[in-house]
Amino acid sequence: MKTRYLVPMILLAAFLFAACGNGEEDRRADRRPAEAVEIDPATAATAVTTVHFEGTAPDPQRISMAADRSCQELHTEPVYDRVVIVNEDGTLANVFVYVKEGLEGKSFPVPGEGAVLDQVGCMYTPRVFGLQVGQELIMRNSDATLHNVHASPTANREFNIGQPVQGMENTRTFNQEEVMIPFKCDVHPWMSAYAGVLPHPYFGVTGEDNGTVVLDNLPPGEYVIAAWHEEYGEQTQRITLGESERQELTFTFRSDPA
Amino acid sequence: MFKKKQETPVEKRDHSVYYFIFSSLLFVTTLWAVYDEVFTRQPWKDHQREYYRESVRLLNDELDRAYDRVNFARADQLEVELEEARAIRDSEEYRVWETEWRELEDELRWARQRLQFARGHAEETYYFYRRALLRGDDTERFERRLERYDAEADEIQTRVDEITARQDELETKMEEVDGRIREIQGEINDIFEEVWTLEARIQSQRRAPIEIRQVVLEEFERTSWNEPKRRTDRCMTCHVGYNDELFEGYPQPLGKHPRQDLLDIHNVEDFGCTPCHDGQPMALSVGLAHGEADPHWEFPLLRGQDVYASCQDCHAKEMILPDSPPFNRGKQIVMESGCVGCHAIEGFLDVADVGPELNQLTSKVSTGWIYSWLKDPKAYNPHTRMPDFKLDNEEAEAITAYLVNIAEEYRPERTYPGGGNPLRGEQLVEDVGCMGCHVVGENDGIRDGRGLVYDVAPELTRIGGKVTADWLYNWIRDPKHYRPETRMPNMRLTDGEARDIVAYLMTLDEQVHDDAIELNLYDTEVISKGEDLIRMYGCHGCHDIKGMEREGRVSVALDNFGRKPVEEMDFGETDIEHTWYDWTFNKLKDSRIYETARIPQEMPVFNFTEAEIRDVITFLRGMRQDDFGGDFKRTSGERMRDIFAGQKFIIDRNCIACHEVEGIGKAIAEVIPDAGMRPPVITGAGSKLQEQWLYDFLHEPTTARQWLDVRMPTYDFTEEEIALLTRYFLAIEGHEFKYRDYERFIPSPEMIRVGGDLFEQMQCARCHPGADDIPGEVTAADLAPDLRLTRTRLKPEWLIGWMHDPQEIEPGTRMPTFFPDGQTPFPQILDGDVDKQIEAVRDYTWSLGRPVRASR
Repeated sequence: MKTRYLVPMILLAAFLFAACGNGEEDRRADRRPAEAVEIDPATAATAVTTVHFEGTAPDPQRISMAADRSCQELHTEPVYDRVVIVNEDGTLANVFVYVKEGLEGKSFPVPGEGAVLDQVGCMYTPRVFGLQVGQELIMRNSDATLHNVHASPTANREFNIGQPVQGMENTRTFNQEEVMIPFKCDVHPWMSAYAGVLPHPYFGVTGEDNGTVVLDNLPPGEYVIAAWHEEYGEQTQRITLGESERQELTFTFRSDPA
Repeated sequence: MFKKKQETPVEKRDHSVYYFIFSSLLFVTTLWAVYDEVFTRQPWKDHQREYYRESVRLLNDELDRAYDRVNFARADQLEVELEEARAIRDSEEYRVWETEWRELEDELRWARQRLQFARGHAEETYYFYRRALLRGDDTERFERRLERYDAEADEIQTRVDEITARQDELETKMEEVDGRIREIQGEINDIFEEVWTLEARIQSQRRAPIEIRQVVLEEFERTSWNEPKRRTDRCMTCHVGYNDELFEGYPQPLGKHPRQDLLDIHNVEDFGCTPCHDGQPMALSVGLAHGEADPHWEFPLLRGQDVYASCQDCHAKEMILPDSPPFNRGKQIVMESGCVGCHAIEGFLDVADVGPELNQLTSKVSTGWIYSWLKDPKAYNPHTRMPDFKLDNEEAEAITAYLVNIAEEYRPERTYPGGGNPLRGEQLVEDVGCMGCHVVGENDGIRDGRGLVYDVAPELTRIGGKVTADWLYNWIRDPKHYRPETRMPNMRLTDGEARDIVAYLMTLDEQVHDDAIELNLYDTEVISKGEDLIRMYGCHGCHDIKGMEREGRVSVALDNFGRKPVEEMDFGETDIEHTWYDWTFNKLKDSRIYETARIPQEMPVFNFTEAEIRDVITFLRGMRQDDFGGDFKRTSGERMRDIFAGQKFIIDRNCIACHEVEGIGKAIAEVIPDAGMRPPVITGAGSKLQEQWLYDFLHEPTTARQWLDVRMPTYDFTEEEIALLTRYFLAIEGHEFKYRDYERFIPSPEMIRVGGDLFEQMQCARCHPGADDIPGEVTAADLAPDLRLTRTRLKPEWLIGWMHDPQEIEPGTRMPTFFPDGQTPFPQILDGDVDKQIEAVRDYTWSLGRPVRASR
């Protein structure tokens, strides 16, 4: 082999070697959107959570609406601030029950329909509610008086919207998970509400007729279920749900923590 | 062999062996040098390669997500539409239009030329016609010719008009087709824009060269001969991703800079890296670049919170920098702890004594208390700023003797009449604002709020065991009567309130001192020993003491302490590691630690927490007299002077305990949980308040927020102090200090009328008290300021921003926005124009007050 070809050959080899490095094929010939991950209804599990109350509920405080005559005129009966509502079957109402841990890293579609916080008779309805991150919160003033919806979150942005016109609505969304966000009306200091903002749809609030929250359509797995009450704070329980399993859970809030 | 060599003739000797050996050596060395240069010594190349690899990977992930967002259905549909539109453009019909247009264009060109010629001929003929007319020649010939040319020109003109009309017609037709194509293309571009941008970025990252990157600062520093010295920062050669949002939170060296907000105001192209971070700018290997592997490099990388030390190079004349807590805390601690009492520190030399004057002590406390306090201040008040001098019994006795002998008699203005309700007193102490500065027993929220181990006002938990009721009564009624230069303000207590508070505080009568102790206080020798001790320990650095007026600071200046070489630091007999940091840390932790039998230490012991020591160290590291900063220095100018003076003042007077200013302060939040019941944020006071009102308010506070329990005290500010504060508030808002006549703002009656209507509809009067309030009736109207103040209190332009978004200006305020998302609930008023509506409401509120001069 003639040595005078050596240098050009080496250069050529080097060039070829370098050229090969750029040979990554374009992996995007035809790309279509990925299907949203769905929960298989055949294996979905259910957690049935009941919240009990033990002890004596504090006497409800009577609300004086004398400060705003238009509020007073909306009520013929005396109005009470019912922070603790114990149902006839011993269950506790207005408890926010939700999946606290176990769904990290999963994403869920945001409902197109907004959650509604209404102001009726100078009270918030509902008093305790949940919504998803990114879901619209529709705040409605059904009263013929001025209300302001003043949310004081810590993780999300504070807002305070005046609603002087009956029937008017404003919407806001929360971008961060936060349990719970307090709402108040500065014009009517007795008005208060709480919202739990979660990145998933697994939450519910116990009612005045029914102290049970059913969290269904859950993917099987290990979860921490939490129950929050504005007076008695939060309790948690850890559960493991097998495929298609239905488990019952009980939380008990006590009037004087032993 | 040598013989043989000599025998061989020169021209026949053979050195090829040596040549071979040495050239081989040279060859190998060259190879080695190349290898070393390309591989061994260039770790930054690996970093850059990794960066580009990761960057392509991350961009590809991003691309995947971007593709998921692409509306392919729409794109496909558009593609079909585009095909259709193109088919029309390629059709025979379009081609015919095009050909016709082009032919017309050709004809037009010729026609225009002919038209010009014809007009030229006509002009020429007209000339001949006029000449013939003047000469009296026959003109008929020319007249005919003129007519002919004019007719020809008109004919051509008609044709030109025809052509242009037809062309316009064709153009419209073609534009319809072309425009449609452009429109579809535009929409397709919009759909794929994100994807294409990402693909372009991926391509450019793939092709990006591996190279040294640098920023050159021409005039950041100066040599010893005051010549500008160039500095070249090459940090970004390894920290390649410092500005790439894809590398957020990524491990170094590739990670993005964690403080984008700081980069935004310190653009790396102008500021480089080492001005903030230190290190060896030119070096390209990690140890040398960080300066830590180079024992002779004087500016190793500032790690952790110490990076805030370098802020001092340019921001020496500032106490508060936005979002820079270590810098702010360091300066605050140094100022509040009275370091400058003993150590000269430029910028702090004008700070008032942090301790009280000691010239009339015997009227306030017993000699036993003084003695016990001197021996161990923390025994009475564990959170006092007074450091421990570790005095022995004789020393404490001597100093007590000196203080007792210089003491003047204080004549109280009033005597405590007795009585008072301790329970009411306790409530008052909690409500009126005492808790903004003082801790009383369990009520230590303000200490938590400040987050510092020391208090700036004495804890009152044992006050009843320290002072007399008479003294206390006089003190809280009018603190300046006893001590004119005290920082304690006047709370404007009524006699009844003062009685209640004294009654309460006197119940806190725990004593930690021994009044029965026998002290030798009147021996001249003891007194003169006390005088010497005070002089030696420098008590006069923090306290005004008679006889010490001419004494200076007892210790060294700290202006270049950050550059103090470790060789100059005495480690005593300790086995503490010999570094600047360790010496300083341990000195601040226990100032007597380096004491030996022969070398006494006089610095008293402070009880800083480790976090506080870290903050002070950050401050001290920044104490260097190198001339860094060049044009970036923010130290001169009237505005900076006003800001520095103002910042020192609001810290010195503890405004920051109750108010938030420039993002710091508001420690009282820990005491008052309801945000609506706290004193206001005053950062924006310069934009909000009329200067005259601010002056009157600072001079003699009046109630503007009647719903607050806590009171703005009366500080008896001097004219100079009020001017200083006013200038400061204006300066931080970027306003000038000048006279402005607010009476010249006269809203139109029409706007006032519309504003009044809006005011009514928005039901503002539900919270804002007004003239038509029914007295005695409980309403929400205790919640908001009386708007009749507006005209004399607020700046007209401030009200506009306030009504747009009150939470933005004062987080937590009860004032709602009535125009969320720029929408109004009253679309029928002023055409629903939000800005106009806000203006109208402002104009209406303006009309509620009376011009102040007219009423006086």
